[in-house]
Amino acid sequence: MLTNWKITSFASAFALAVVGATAASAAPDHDDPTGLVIFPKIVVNSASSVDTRLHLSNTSSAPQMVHCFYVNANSHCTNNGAVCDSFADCEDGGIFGACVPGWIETNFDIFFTSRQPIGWVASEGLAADDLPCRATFLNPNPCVGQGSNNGTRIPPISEDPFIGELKCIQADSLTRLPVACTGSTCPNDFTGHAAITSSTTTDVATYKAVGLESVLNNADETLVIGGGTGEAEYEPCADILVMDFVYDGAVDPISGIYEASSELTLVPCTQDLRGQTTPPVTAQFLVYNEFEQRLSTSRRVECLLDTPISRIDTSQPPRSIFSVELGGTITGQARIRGVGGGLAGVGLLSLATDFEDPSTRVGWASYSLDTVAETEEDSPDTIFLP
Amino acid sequence: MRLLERNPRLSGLIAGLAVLALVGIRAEAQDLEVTSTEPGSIVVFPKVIADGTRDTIIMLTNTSNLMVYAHCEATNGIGRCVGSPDPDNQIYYCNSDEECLDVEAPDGAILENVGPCDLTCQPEDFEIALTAQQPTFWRVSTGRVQDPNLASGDACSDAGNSQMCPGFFLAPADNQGAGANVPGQEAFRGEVRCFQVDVNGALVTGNALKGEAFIEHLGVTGEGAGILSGYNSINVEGGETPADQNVATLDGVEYARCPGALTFDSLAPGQADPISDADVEVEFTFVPCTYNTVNPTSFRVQFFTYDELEASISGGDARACWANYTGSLTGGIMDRTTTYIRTTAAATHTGNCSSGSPVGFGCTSDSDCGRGGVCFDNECVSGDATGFVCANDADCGTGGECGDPSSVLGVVETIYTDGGLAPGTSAESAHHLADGENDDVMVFTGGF
Repeated sequence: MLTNWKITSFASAFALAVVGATAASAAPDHDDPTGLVIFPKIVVNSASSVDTRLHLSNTSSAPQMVHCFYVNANSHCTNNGAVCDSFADCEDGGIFGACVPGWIETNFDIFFTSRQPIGWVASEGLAADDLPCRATFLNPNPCVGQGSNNGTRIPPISEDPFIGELKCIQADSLTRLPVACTGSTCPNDFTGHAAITSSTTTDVATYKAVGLESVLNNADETLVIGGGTGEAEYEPCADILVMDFVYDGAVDPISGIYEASSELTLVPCTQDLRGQTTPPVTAQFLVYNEFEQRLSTSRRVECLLDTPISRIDTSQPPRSIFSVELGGTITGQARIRGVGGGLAGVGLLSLATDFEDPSTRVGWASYSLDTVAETEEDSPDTIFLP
Repeated sequence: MRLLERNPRLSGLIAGLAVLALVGIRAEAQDLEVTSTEPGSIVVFPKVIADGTRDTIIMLTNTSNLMVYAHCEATNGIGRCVGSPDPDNQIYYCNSDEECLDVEAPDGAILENVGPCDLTCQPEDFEIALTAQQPTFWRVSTGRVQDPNLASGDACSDAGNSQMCPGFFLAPADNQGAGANVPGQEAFRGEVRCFQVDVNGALVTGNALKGEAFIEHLGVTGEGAGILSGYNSINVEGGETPADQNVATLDGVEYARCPGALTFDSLAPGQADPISDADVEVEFTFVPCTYNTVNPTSFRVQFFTYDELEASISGGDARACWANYTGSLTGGIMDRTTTYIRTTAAATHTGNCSSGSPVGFGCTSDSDCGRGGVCFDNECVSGDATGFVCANDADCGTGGECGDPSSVLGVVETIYTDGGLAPGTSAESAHHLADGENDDVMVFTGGF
């Protein structure tokens, strides 16, 4: 016979199971409008004519505002401050400096009129006369509906070359913080996409921004990403991402000529934008080929990881577990688990004459990573706003 | 009962459990999503091209630790003018007989009356088996055949009308066993959708499948070969075990409901890319959420575009089984003065012409169906005539229900033309703007 305490325990466990199952079903969302939008890959390099076009849309019938943060993930030389990829870029007068990872945020606001799309080029920004709906004393309602873009000033990215990310948070126009809300009252109105363009080809790679739906907010400077019921302010980030890829160096099955080259970009979900720090996350990779053979590797993600996949585990691409010479099949699946925090990211497939030489690229396409598990309730991610 | 009467706290507890269970079940039903970034039980690739100018690679992955089977349907959504064969075997694509009245040949000559337009939306089915965590791919124009003797790291090679590639490819079509062919598609512009099934070919809601499609230009080096568009598949999450082994009901319980409206962020057609200065064209591709291999589903899409000045214009059109709209040709609604636009699209409440001309096309009144035509407002969402147009439940057979017409799924592709250079392309699936309120039904025949 069940005693009352046993029944109560059973009921509690059942309730927790039900609530837990419900909470766990949320996931980063590339499809629905959301209150927090992440562009994991913004790249500008005028030397190779690469730039990124960004596009944000307000799907609401009311004017809305977002508070955005460019995160500059460039590394810099200790001896001369130049942007670098490795110490080999830091030679100055015969002396080599160290190449140190950096992390600098720049924040700004964008004011949208109702249902308005706004786009800009990362290297140029958007302000003043270029704003589509700029109200003046003589013309206070420059567009069809309510509101104007006054107050918007999107700066150009802070360095060239630039690799980094953009986060935009739907916010109150006065406090620049998310509005206090619960459940369905939380505003989730923004969609976004980015287009990476290079002059070496007419081809363009676009991807949909990662969105995190707002589910609760206390309007403070600490955004809780995931977590338990009553704690989580946004949907959880991915604990496990899945990236389908073509092995680096594999011959394209359509052209029969070009070699495939894939890139992976990952950003950690936890960031201290106030203290300009980010705790490193270790990305663990399980790589499967068509024979179901599994290889694995790990890589630290400090601020941002943007790399050809065959350089994730080695500096010699033909020796990589992402190389076709080791993979043995054309396509593979990588399961990417974030240890120490959630991750967001995007993939990119290129075709080139030589997969190790980006200047031989003829075409590219970007695509989203799939989420197969979210971060646990007891380990939410956190964004601290300045 | 006596126990409950003796212990009101216990009865309250059980009542609470029941409520929690109901809440849990309801929550689960609400949580099912149509998504491009989580695995699902039905995987849809709305835009698949293999027409001699471009070809498509489809990647399909099993994200689970169990063997998974997929029943796939490739539906050609573009018609061909078949009335007057061209001596050069040139294919002229069409959506209606009218488009075959005057056709421009490659040499610029105008050919008259090369119709009618053969638009049958004919599906071709095939099966794929995926071992635990197995990724795979195939080229749409050739399909793929297994060759266990091909050395790893080799390029793919021709195998008659098919293609052999390094790796393991299990396609047990028509009980031919491992190594059977996934068929190649000739002159194909349409969709591919795959259903997760069990070893007997019955639907299962395992949510193990995901994929990507890469559309690649053909041609020679330096003239466009290798230019890519890529997008994630649209995945329908499954919930409860389907009641029918070949009928997927997208009601939020068995499978996720399709979205009520889609939204696309893009450049405006006719504008210049602000980075490359290339001329921009935009293509919107839609497929109906409701699917029937026997009776193609027609649908009507209503567009709204919003530019940066917040101005909006709307327009609409009806198509059968697959639609590829060029932005500059959709009634001018996307001819905007700003660079960036947002386009929303939704299936309007419309019926199907059950008689008159054109039969099967979307309509809102009998007059849309030509002389003597009848516009039925709904289609059977269950019963013996599932997927067929209907006026009432009786038209749908025993226990059948006559319901709302199909929702739509979609992809946007942008084409960048810069002088004499080969056009660049980019693609992505739509954002979902509103939750769907209607049930859709996908019906297929066959299986292992």
